[in-house]
Amino acid sequence: MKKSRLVGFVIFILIGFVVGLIYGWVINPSGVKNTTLASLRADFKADYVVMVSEIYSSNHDLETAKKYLVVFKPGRTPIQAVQDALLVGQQFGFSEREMRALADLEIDMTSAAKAETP
Amino acid sequence: MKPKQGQWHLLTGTIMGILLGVVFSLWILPVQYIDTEPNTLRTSDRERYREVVANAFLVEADTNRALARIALLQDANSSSALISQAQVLLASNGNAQTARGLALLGAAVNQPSLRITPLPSAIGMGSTPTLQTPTGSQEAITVMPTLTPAATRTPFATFTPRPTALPSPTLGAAFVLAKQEDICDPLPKVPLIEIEVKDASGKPIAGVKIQLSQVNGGSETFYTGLYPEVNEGYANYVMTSGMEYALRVGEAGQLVSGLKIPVCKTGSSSSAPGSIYLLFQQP
Repeated sequence: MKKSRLVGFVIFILIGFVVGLIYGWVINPSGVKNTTLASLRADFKADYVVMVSEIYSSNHDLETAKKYLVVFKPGRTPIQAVQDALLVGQQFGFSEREMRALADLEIDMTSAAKAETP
Repeated sequence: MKPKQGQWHLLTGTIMGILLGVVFSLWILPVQYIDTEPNTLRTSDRERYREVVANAFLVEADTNRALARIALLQDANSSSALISQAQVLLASNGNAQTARGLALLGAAVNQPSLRITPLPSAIGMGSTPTLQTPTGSQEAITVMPTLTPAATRTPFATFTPRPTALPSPTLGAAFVLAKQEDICDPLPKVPLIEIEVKDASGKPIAGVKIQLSQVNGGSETFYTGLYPEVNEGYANYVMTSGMEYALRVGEAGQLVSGLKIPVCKTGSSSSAPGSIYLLFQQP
């Protein structure tokens, strides 16, 4: 194959590739399915974190709480996820009980993180 | 003289590129969605979500709220999904308390008036956040989040262990069918096979294995004891229209076959699906 023909071949592969990307990403993207907890809307995430904090208020098992909150990684650490939920809670007017549960969890997680850091 | 070469290689290259692009954009690096709703979660995250809702339900004891949260998943049959997850958890020696929460929540889906006693929580009792003063002083202000002094956390209530999927709890006489009846009044929301298992003295027994098979193939195993609010020996199974079932309670119990959704007359010419009640007892 001549060099010029090879170059044309590669260029048209690239053009086709771009067309394929446009089809898959813009024209006919895969449906909203198989998403993760990390992709939930902020208020759903905050409600999830509230549930975790309520569970923590009963069992005081920090490891379990972290296990539930690690789903927001790599975007947000468990502590950041709780802090985000506190902010959303202020915006959406979460109850005092929920805010306290979140605050307790955030404080205990922060304390534990400080204790782990040499 | 050179042979004339066509432009087919360009068309071939374009088609190859399009195929590569489609594969890449749909499978290798598909569109990433943000701000999604719980009903779009993948299976593992749906299970995690149910688990957290169920555990929170045990603490809050707010049935309506828990049901609203579970409804966000838009499961075809929330009750079945919750109970099967509880059974899988029990079978894999998972957390018994979580399994209990899942089972109770599954029961609450069918019986929204269900109320449970919440586990005690110590919200605001255990932590005393410390804020640095803005003046740069090393003194700190201690903020007490509650009016009640809280030096120590309230001890937690001990959890009553849930029945686990143990081998059949009796090596004595096999379970036999003591009673079978169709339930039409009140009409059930979903057609169920409702099973109660009792020992010879009439005491309900939890953890009894029930093997259910469908005439056209397929079988399932489940256990009594996931509905303690009904009784420890209770279990149920949602029947599918047009299917016929056979079941056996315990390892060597009596086989009961020909179970299918009973037809309940609701008027002169109308009918609705009913449930079946089966009582098994040791002789």
